[in-house]
Amino acid sequence: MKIRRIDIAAWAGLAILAHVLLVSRYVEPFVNVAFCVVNLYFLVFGALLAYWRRQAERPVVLYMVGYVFGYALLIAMCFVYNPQWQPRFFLYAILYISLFRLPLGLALLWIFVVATLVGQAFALQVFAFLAAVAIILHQVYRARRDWFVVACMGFGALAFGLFLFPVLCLATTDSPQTLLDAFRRSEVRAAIATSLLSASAAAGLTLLFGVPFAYALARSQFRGKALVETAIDLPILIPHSAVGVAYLLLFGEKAIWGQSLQLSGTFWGIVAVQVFVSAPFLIKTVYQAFDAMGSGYEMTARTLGASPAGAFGRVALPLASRAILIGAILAWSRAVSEVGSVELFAYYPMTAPILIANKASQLGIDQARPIAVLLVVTCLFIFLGLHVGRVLATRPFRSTGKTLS
Amino acid sequence: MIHIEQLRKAWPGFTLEIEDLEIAPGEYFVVLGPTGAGKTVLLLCLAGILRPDSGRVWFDERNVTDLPPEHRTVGWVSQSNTLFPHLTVAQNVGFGRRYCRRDTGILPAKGWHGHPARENHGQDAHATSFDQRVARLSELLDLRRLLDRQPADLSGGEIQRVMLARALALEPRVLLLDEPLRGLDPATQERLCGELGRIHRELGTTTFHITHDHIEARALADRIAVLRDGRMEQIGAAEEVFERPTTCFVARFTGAENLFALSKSALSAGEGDIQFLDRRLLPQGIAADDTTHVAIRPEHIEIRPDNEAANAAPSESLRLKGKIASLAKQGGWLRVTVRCETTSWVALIHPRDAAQCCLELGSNVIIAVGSQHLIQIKESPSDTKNESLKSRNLVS
Repeated sequence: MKIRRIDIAAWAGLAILAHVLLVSRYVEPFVNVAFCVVNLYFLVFGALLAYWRRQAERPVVLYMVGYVFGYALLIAMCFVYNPQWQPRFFLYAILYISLFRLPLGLALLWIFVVATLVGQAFALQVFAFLAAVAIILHQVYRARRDWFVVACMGFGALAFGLFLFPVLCLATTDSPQTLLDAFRRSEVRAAIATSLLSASAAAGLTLLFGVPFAYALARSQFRGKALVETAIDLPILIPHSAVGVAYLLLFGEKAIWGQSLQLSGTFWGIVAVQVFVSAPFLIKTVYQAFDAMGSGYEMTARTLGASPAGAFGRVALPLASRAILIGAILAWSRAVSEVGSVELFAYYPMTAPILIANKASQLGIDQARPIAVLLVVTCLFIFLGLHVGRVLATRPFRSTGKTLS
Repeated sequence: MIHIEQLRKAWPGFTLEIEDLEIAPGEYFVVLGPTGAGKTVLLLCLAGILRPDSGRVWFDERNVTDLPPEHRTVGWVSQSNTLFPHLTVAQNVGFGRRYCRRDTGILPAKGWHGHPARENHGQDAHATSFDQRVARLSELLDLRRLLDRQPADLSGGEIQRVMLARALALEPRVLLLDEPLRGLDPATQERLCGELGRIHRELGTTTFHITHDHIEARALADRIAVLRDGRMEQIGAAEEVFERPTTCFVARFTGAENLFALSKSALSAGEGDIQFLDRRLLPQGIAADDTTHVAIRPEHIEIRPDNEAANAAPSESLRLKGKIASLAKQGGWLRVTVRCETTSWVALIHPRDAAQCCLELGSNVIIAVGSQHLIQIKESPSDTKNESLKSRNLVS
């Protein structure tokens, strides 16, 4: 398509004529003039675009289609939903024309339009989520220039984000004032403190026995090893209410060891079931790290004079430190979110998840929501804090990727 | 120094069996063998990382068979990179510093040949002497500018040098090298090979080196053992193994590529497969029986243009007419394959000689071998695997 000045002039004339015809029927005169100016700007920019792209056809067609389509969408929605949206036409038109040569900017504009149309009350959250996906996709594409990877990433991120989205909305719904009010209540504070303390205790205990166990498992061969590896995964499989029942069977108030140990209904009872459900995450992560590392490093350390314990402490442990921290964070996260078994085995002292369930079932969702938000925000901060701390604390060494058989 | 007795280590489908192997103090001992021959297993048994199923390993007068690696004082340079990635080069080399005072329970370590002052030091001075050794090693191996780096930032050759320094820092009774030149570019290989030799001369550490490369073995070894399928084929001084291989396998593996079976009928009739081995030209001592082979190293074969055939030197025992089948550059040398009727011969020719006799693909030449270069190999008929070796060269 060869674009000449005469074409531009003809199109501009047509646009002006259309606006003149339109004026009497639907739109106010002032608004119509403003629109006319914007549309002329669009035509001029289109001509410039054609000139920059050396008269290439595709970008110009895309440009026109995008403009018309976005416009049509807005007008349609305007008739369906809200006639007060006229200013958005201007915003869209001007931003569209200015951002057309910046793919990411254009995408964000489109996402903004879609978010405001679809999102309604959660428009900001929808926009934040979709914008994050778009920015990630943009980076992926720039790094690899591979549409397949971009498509996989887009599909995955969108699907995964859809499940995460309610939490995002939940965490940003309540005003700080409501949260503060909820936090002032002593039962809420006590529940959150119990949750955090018991999860930390559970993660600590898991570390204490999980790391040596994972190491021993990675370094030894014995008959039935596969069976033991499967047994480690069992806590993930078993329904957590069943775990609670199983613990009650042995440690319940009237059960054989219940009277002497006094676990049921105590803080340490909570810790006990939390250790049970969170241990696999740590053990698996650490086991894989030790296994992948191979025994070459430790054997070298031993030829240099280190005892088996010395080789473990000076070589294997530092090399697995990342995996250990990740495992601990996973275990902590799993422990803090545990409900099913805790509910049955140690309902009191209440942990925050149990308090939420309690309030939601007895007083309705509005009473439970601020507590839920508080718990989510607190845990999110600690989770992020732990991860940031892990990244800062672990010394940045690059693994050479080679292992010894 | 090291004495291995009746050592046996077996897995399904593989058995390592060493009858008797003695390594002298200060010796550079090379075990040569193809992949899967059990070289590394043998080395790991010496390091104490693997326990043999049966047999004994002696270090000097002490039975160390059941001693764990930390009590053996061995320096191990493994096949893969085992520099501790979380430590710097200096920390890697100094890893053993805190263990240098340990009571190994073996005989007191001998002073280094190049470092006699070491023997005057008392027990307390161990750490100081360790630091001195590290300083000396970093000078010997040119590590000074690497000391603050992380292992991930090192090149392949540098990794090997650091591993070598780390292994030597504790003044090991024996240095175990597991294919130390593997995976390096040829220039680095050559350089590191030279450095290994120099270090051994300087420090006099007993060295046990395993490799599959006969060139490397020849460059470094005092003595060589050739290992095959878990058994020793031949043990001897380096030159002896190369000049007088006792089996076809050794001959081929040490680079004597021209390997021919002698058969009675062929000899007497003067025709057939090996008709070129005219009885008149056979040197004394090569008897024609069913199990005799003749091996000739490619560098001992001379190639001349056909037209010079008339004025041959009398010392040559073997002269054959043939046609050049292929030419290939190998290092600085020219690798020439010559087809003589039913046999094909490989020769390594210096490019200078090649220029003189204008070798071209398909040109007619004469190959000549001095009688002293004919290596006779007598092999027991039970060794059936060699059938494939000789047939590859003869029936092709």
